[in-house]
Amino acid sequence: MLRKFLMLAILALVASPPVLANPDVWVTTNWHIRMADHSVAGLTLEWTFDPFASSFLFTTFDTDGDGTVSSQEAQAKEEELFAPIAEQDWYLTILGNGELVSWHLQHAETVFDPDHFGLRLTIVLDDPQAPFSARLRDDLLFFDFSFADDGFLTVEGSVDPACRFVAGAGEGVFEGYMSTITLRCGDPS
Amino acid sequence: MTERLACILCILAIVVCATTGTVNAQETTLPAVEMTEDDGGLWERWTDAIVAFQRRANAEVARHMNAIDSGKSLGAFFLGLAIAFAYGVLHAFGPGHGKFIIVSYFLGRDARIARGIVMAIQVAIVHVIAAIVIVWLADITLRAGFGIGLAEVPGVRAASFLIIAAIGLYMLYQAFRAALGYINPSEVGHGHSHAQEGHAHGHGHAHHEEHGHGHNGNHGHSHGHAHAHGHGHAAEASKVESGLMAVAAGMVPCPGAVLIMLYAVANDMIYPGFLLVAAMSLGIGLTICSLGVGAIIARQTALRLVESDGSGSSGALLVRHGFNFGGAIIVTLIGLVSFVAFLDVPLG
Repeated sequence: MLRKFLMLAILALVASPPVLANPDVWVTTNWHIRMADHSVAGLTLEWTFDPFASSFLFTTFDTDGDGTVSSQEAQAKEEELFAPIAEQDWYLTILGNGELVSWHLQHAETVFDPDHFGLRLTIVLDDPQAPFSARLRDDLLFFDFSFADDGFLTVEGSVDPACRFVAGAGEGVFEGYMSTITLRCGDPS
Repeated sequence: MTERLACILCILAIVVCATTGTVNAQETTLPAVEMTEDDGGLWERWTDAIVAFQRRANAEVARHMNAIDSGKSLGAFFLGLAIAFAYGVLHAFGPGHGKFIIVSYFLGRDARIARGIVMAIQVAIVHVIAAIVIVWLADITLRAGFGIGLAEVPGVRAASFLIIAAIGLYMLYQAFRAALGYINPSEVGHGHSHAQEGHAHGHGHAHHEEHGHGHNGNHGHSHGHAHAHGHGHAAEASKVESGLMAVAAGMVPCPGAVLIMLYAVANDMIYPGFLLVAAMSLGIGLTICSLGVGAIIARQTALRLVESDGSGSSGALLVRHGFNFGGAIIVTLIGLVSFVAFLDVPLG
């Protein structure tokens, strides 16, 4: 009896908790990685919001409603938009050789094109890293980050022939996080 | 002569600049990138698949709205509705949307499956209404999601959490009354109205709880009838309670639906936007309905199993009380914890 009851209770519980798959804003990303002496010295991240979020952000930024966002309008609203995202460290976590490394944002700007709203973030690592791994993730799952379809990663500078870029599922503490870029070195597997 | 010298100097400067640039600029390449899949368990893969579908559905809904706008294509519109519905079904599996509350509520209440379905429809309708009504407050709502100021919609969220906590406390009160024998535990949360002599009676019967079978040749039955007569409107009150629960669970709008509505308003596609949000909310309602009905069936099956398992009336009673208290405590905690967490968030 107890076994049946427990099974039912477990079934009910399994049915009820969240699957944690509930983003409302979809962001595609392009990554530009800057190398220095075969190590990652910095990166530029370009976020592109989905059409619905873009539309909302566009109307938020276009305060005079003339259908365009002037540089003054962008500047006026950027701080408001950036502050809470900055509080979340721009949803970016960077590891060097498996350890958390420090970095800082050199520049952030908004990008408008006719259909989409975006952000461009220039990140500088305090110490260049190889191996390197970076992950974009919103733990509250309001934002979903994914890679743009084609050519989402460009690299400036030379990469050690023993290293290669891996994108998708992370490793180690990033395991299970799909929006991860890793520079894997020395491991042929 | 001077002009010729200036020209030569200019050319030299350009050459020097270009050369320096070549030396300093790093070559930008498009490296070969190895793509890896999540090799986690079935659960992770399932979650990834749900996210991937929603990502695609979001883009498709936008594409179909534009198709409707540009070509007035009926086919695109219906396909858009179908995608929005499927988007809602999967979207509701995520946090929010009142699933846990509904499941806890129905685990703690005796209810018919029809009640679960009606409640899910109510949640879906409230969700649509909330999404549409809230559009004019979207500036505040979405700031919450984007984290701008975190003002959210204080009144709506606070009211939602307080209603949930109040219902949980009421459930707890009824569970205590049932445990103390003031009401039949199976009457918790529902009743029967009898129009009799101009007033209504809440009416409960307990049969099986007092029903014992001996196997020593003596077959004893002891029937106990618990009649709870009152001049209340038990059935109506129960409907009000589940209706309130549906409102509380659905009144905080889904930011995704609000974004679609905003997009529709911005692009002068209010009616298609309304229908797409309605389709999405219907999908959300279907998921909530399935989980709610699942909880009702789980409770009914558990009670039936215990009753038919030879554990006797005490076992059945214990399980029923357990469900009543468990559901009530969880609903109360969700309401209270959410409200406390809400108070903890600085208002913008």
